[in-house]
Amino acid sequence: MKKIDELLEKYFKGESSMEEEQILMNLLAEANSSDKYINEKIMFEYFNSEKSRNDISDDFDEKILKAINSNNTIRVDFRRKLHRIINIAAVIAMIIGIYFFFPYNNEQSAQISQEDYKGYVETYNALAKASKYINQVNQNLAKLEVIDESLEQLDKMSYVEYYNNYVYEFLGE
Amino acid sequence: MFNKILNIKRLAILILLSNFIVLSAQTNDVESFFKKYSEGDGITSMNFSPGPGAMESAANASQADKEVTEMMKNIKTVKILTSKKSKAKVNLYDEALKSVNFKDWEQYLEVKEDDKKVKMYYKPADNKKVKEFLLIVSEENESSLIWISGLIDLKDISKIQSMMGKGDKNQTKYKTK
Repeated sequence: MKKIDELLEKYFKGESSMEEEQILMNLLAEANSSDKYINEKIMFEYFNSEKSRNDISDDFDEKILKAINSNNTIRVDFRRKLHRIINIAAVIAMIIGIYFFFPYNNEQSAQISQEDYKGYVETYNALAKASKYINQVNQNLAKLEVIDESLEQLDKMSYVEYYNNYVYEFLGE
Repeated sequence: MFNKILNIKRLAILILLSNFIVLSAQTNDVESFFKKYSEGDGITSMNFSPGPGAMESAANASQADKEVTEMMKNIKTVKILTSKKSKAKVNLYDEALKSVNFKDWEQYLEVKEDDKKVKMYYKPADNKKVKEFLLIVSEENESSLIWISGLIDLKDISKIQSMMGKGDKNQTKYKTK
């Protein structure tokens, strides 16, 4: 029992060797269900069952460490990252390009500066003022035309009077 | 020989100087008037030279009529001076008529009505259009000068009022902005 305690302590501290772990597993396998080591027994049984279920080979750790330490693997990762960055940059550049080089897109109105818009409004108002006076003069000219037409009509009346006189003279009245 | 060359040089310098003096005297009177009064007390000034496409974009943004957009596109410079009679000592109408030389201008209209006096001048361009027009207004409370340069048809200007009169969407937009 004392040995199990020692080995368990070493195991949980991560100081146990593979051989010691094997011994510990063997000792725990012999433990009864009423033992105080029942929990540890269940844990190690679970580890064993998982180990047998997986296809991970015994040299799995070695392989991983080897792969991590190999320079080639690092290069491949760096290239992939670089590729991704370039792709993202290209997409962003394309979006910016579309935004700025399509003059009549929907966002065009948002690009007008406040000063340009203010200038436009002032110009419009100035033209409207000019328009008002031009139309005022035009309306007065139109009135003059009406008077002109009336005078022409009056002129025609004088012809009637002339012919009347002519008729009276002819009749000798 | 040397003296002759010296005399020719002097003559050339004299000609150049006289040309410079004549040319500087011919600078636009209206422009110098605006420069002089733009910073005067109680005078509000506006100077606007739209960049390429700015007018068209602004007109599109305001959903202006096609005719208005076309007219606005051709405007190069707009200068406005306004003086409130209560604040400014100067009456821009009187000052402009005194100071500006209208030799190159043609008078388009003149209105006199109670306290209101209006004169409008223009410089003709080809195709019955004008390249500059100047509106000088004196009203009860304020006097103002509006100078617009660009290729403009005065008939198009007269249409603006009728567009506004119909309760056209532009008017309210411009006023609320």
